[in-house]
Amino acid sequence: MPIIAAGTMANAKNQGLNGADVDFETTWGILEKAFQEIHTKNASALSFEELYRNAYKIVLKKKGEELYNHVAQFEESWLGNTVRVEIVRHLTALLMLGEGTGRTMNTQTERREAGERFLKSLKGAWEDHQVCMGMLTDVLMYMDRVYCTDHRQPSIFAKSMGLFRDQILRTPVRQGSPTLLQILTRIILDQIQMDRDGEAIDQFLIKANVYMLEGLYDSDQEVEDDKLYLRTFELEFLHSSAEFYREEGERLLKESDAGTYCRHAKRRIDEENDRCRSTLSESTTPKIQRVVEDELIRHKMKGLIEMETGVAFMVENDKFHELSLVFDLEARVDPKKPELTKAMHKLITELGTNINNTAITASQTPAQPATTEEAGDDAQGKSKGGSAKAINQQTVAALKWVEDILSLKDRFDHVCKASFASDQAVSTAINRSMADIINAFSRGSEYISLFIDDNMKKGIKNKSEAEIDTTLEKAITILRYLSDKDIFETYYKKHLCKRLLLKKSQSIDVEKQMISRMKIELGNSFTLKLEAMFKDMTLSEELANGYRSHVRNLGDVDPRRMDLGINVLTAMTWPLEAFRGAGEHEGNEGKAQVIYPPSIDKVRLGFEHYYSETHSGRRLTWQTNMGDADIKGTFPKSKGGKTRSYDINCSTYAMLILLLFNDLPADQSISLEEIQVRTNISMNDLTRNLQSLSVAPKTRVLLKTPMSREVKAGDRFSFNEGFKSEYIKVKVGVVSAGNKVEGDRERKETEKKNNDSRSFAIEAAVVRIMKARKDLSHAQLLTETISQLSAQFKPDVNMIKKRIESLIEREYLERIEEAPVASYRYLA
Amino acid sequence: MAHITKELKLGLESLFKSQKFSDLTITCGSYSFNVHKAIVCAQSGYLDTACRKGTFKEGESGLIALKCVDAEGGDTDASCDDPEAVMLMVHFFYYQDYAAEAVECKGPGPAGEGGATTDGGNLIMHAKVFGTAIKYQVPGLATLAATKFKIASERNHEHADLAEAIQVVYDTTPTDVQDLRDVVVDTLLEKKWLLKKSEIQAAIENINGLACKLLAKTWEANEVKPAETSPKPLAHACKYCSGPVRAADGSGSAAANVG
Repeated sequence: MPIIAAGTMANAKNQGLNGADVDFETTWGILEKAFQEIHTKNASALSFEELYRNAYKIVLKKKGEELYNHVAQFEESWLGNTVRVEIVRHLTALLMLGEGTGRTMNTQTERREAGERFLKSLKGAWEDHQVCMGMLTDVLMYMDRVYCTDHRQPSIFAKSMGLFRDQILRTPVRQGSPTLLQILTRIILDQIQMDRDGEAIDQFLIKANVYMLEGLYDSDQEVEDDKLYLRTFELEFLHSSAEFYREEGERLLKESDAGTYCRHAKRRIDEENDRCRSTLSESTTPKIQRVVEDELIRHKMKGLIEMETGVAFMVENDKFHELSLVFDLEARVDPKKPELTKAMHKLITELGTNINNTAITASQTPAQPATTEEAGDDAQGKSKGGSAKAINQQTVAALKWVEDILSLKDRFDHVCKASFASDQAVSTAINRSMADIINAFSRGSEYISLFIDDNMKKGIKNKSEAEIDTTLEKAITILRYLSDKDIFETYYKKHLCKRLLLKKSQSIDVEKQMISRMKIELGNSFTLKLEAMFKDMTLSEELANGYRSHVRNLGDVDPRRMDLGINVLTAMTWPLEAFRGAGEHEGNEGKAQVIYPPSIDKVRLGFEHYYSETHSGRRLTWQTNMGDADIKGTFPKSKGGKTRSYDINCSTYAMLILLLFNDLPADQSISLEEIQVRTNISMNDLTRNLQSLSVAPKTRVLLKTPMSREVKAGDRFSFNEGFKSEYIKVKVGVVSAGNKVEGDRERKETEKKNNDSRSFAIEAAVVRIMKARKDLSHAQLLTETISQLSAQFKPDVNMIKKRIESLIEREYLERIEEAPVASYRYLA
Repeated sequence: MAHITKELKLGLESLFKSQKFSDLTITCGSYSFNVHKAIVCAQSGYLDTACRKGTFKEGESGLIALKCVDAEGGDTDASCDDPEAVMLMVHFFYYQDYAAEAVECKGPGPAGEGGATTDGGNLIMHAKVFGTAIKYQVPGLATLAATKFKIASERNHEHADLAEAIQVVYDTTPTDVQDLRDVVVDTLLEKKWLLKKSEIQAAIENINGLACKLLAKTWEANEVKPAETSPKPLAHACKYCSGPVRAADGSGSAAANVG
């Protein structure tokens, strides 16, 4: 004890006059005796005044250091010789546990009770020590103030706490055995394990001991981070918990289903939080939470999602609650939810690819084109109502694809809403996956347009406004994902064109609604041409009405004069090739004019005259292949019957054919070739129209010899006097009228056309950009071009490069030779 | 010292006089005071601790017997109390002030070593009150007593009591309490002729470390340029009429006054 020696010497020098050493021993004697009483809980008879005064006296005589050391020594021996012995006495049974196998105690209950006895004795010792040291601090107030502050010593209270740590916790129970701190840690961990296993433990007892560890420090400096609790127990606790949950997680993944796992994991996290509050320290909450999250969630998420009863299973079986549990778990550890979004993506891609494959298989099934078409013919001939059957197999596949995609989206939207709280990250993943599968399907654009077409023609019949609204919204929804919007536009125009001209649309209002929705979704330029088509239709109606009144005003009204309905179509706006039969490839110009009978030709010329009066400088080209006619057909009475007359609606071609028979005696016939010469209708159209008129059973106005399904060269036709029909109105179907999936050749053509128009769009974009920027690097030009065109389609980089080459050849651009990176300059 | 409303002042005074609701008795020598824990414990850390229940005897009995310097048994060291000083402390609890003059007139007191004028006697009493305030942890009283002591020492430095007062200052407070020690050192250095007095010399001789401190201060003062002297007395006065007690290191500002 060098400190004491030095102190004594100094004091001896200073206080030599008063004989202070003797005095100190007497005074200390009084204090020591009193401290003894305090530690044995006999303080109530002690006089605070006396003790305080004596301690004060020692300080006044500058013997603070000596007093301090005496007190410390007193505490050290008290703790070491009395308190520790008492605690160790409680320990004997438990020591076995510590040294032996660890599980030698007979039953859990016994082990728990032994542990509690130990905890209780330690808690008691700690609390007594606190109280006693509090009283000593009161008495020694001036020693703390004068001596400890001057000499930078810890207060006597802190000093004695350090002594407690060293004497009680850190001293081995006996040679070679663990310290009480190690034993304490082990016992608390053991008790916590029992708690996790569901056995009731005394939480307050543990909490009191944890409180003790939190009140002690690793060193006498009392640095906040050096709390004994943080330095020893908490480390052990986190470590053993990690081990426990790692094992438990692995076991659960093997043994139970995903839903149970989620519930269990959530419960464990809550439990640990509660445990920190009730049994350990609040400061541990975030740390243990992190451990449990790591072991039960972060490291297991992948396994959990891929379990047999994992996310795929949950989605399949509508287990929304379980899904929300999975979501909650992952949201807890990562706001981006990488595993869940990955799983969603995988699932959607899988299901979506199935849908795509089904659609492809359906469209590739040998469709027996001839039979299908004929079946279509038949069906159309047979009944107007049952036209659903008229759509061929591929079209059905197309509609099914759209419906499937929509229901897939609905399903995952629902999952996202019901289980994932409409989470941004997950719904983005879902949307991206949907876009991927829709765009992975090459016929997406066409199928979507067909879906709308089908709904416009039949789907919206007898539906309420709200229902129509939903249908339109569906179409828009799926359209939003589509990247090749230009291809869609091509198809939509084609389909719309047929609907308008053939009056197949259920409601022009709904058509217009659809257009305005597209306008909102895809922009003005997208719908420009579509709107122009509607405008043409309106103008044509006015024109036809104007012509009608013009004719009336001519005065000489011929009751037999035929009425003309006309649609004047702007050539650039309408995709007239849609009406061209599969066999025709020549342009409109090369097409031979059909021969009109005089009664018809008169009207035609009349209209041309009228039109050129109002619109000078325009040329009308008659698209006879698109028109239709209403004729009244009169059939002689059969035996016992009366004269029947029918309103026959047929194509313009059919009308021309039928008119030939007007002047022909009933028993005479005309050959196919003769009809061709007299009408100049192309053979292809002619055969198809004749087929409708003479083969289809319900509209057999003509008789064909020989009677067979096919119209062949040399066949002869005559008027069918015995024609009968249940209805007054008879509609003669035309084969290619419906909007169907394209054939391979058609598709190739559409693709080619599409590529051409894309080339133009790319060139236009490049020139626009270069005009504005003058000089630009290759990479930047590519980026800007792609971003400009992204609203219409996703341009192919090779295609852009080719267009740039071509523009250079045509001297719109030039390469900048000296530029460090490939760059172009705009040539004005 | 503090701004206490008149009503509260009167209320406290009547409580003190009537001893109504008194729940604690403090005795010292022949004096006995019936006081109120709520009032005294709020001002004294010592009393606050002593009255705590469940620890020491005083907490239960409500009686605190402070050992008097002249108590039987003759153990009259500096840790014991002068009943007059204790009385002034209790007075302070209720009035936030004390009047040493009155005390001087009333009783003989241990300080009354014949021939003491009214003024000079205060010097010793202020030192004792200060010591009591330090011992019983009454910071308000310590500040007040220090101020009074300083004023008294300026007026009465020639008084014969100065030597004894110096002795009291050094005996009754622990070394870390510098307030009065600084006043003593400053006074002695400012009025250097005092050092010629034999009783002062005896006191310096008797007190550990005082001579050393004087020497150190003299040296420090020489370091300071004379130009700085003029504004100092003012600053010095200010420190004591408004500032709180400064336990340590008054030397910096005090040193400047010497030159």
